[in-house]
Amino acid sequence: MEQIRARMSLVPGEIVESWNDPEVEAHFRTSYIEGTPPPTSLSLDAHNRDTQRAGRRFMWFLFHEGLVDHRLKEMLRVQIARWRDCDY
Amino acid sequence: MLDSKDRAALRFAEKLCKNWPELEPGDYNQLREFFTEPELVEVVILSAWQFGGPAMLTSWGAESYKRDGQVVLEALPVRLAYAEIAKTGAPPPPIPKPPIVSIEELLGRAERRQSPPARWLRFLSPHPFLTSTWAALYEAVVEAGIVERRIKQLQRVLLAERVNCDAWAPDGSPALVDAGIEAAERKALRNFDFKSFSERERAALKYADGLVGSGQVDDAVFDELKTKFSEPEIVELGYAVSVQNGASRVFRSLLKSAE
Repeated sequence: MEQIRARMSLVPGEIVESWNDPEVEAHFRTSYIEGTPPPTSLSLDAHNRDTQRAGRRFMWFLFHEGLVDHRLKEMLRVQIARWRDCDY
Repeated sequence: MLDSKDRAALRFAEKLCKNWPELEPGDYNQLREFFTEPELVEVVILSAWQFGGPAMLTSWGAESYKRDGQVVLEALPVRLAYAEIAKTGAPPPPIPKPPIVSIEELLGRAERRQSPPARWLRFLSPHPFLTSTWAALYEAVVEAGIVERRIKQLQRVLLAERVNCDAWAPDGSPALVDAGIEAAERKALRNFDFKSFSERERAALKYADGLVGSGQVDDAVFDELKTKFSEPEIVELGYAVSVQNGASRVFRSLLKSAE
């Protein structure tokens, strides 16, 4: 399998933890349990805190709360990745 | 086991992915047979986000930090935040609900800027929470942020051109006028002609073209991007394209309903 190149660095834990931001902590700690998003993705978009906050708020509540059954949302997520030929 | 509701949602998503120019009012009417209007918005916006969001993470090389599809903490070059406490099994704190901005306020700002199209927010409005969080993301990365607005408005025009939907970034709209974007520049974007733009603008536009086109960004394009933008700026640029990538295609199909 071809090795994928790392294009962006991961923001180290000590930097993220120094923010003492309960919302960021909640997202990270939940990611270790849920697996989606993986903590590496949070560590990538942590380069830009304002963008991360807005992006993660949108995505978390889109996928994990709301009106539509989570099972269907997960099916959509997986199928769209296949149709879009996207590894992620 | 799939039920009729599942199949309707998957049918919509598949058409968005494989044949989005053909999306039409009938596709939304099929969803309405099984979903309430707020649920329909949720299915559509989730499909629209998944159309473009994961490509952004792939463009950053997010997969390079996985082994056989899994994150292996010990194999990473840095210690990730809160990894130790996660290992103890302590339950995570709840993710706080974000503040909600009223539809009227969001529409007022969108109408003043013509960015995003107010009609798009009206489509989302049966689901006030999603309207607010989507608009907050859009405003944070397209209208505010650390990268100059002109670059993100150029990306918006490029996106409107590639999905053949002028109404996503209408000529003469205050957002484009404020950013100093002229008709000749729009024509150049339409023709994939980036030579009149600055090096920094070119790098951002090529990155956007990769995400909007095939969803793949070549090493050479990303390498150029990294010479012109910092990592915090690249995060913003990626989200600025992704929040619009699927949404603009859905929006284009909604306009057919109005014809």
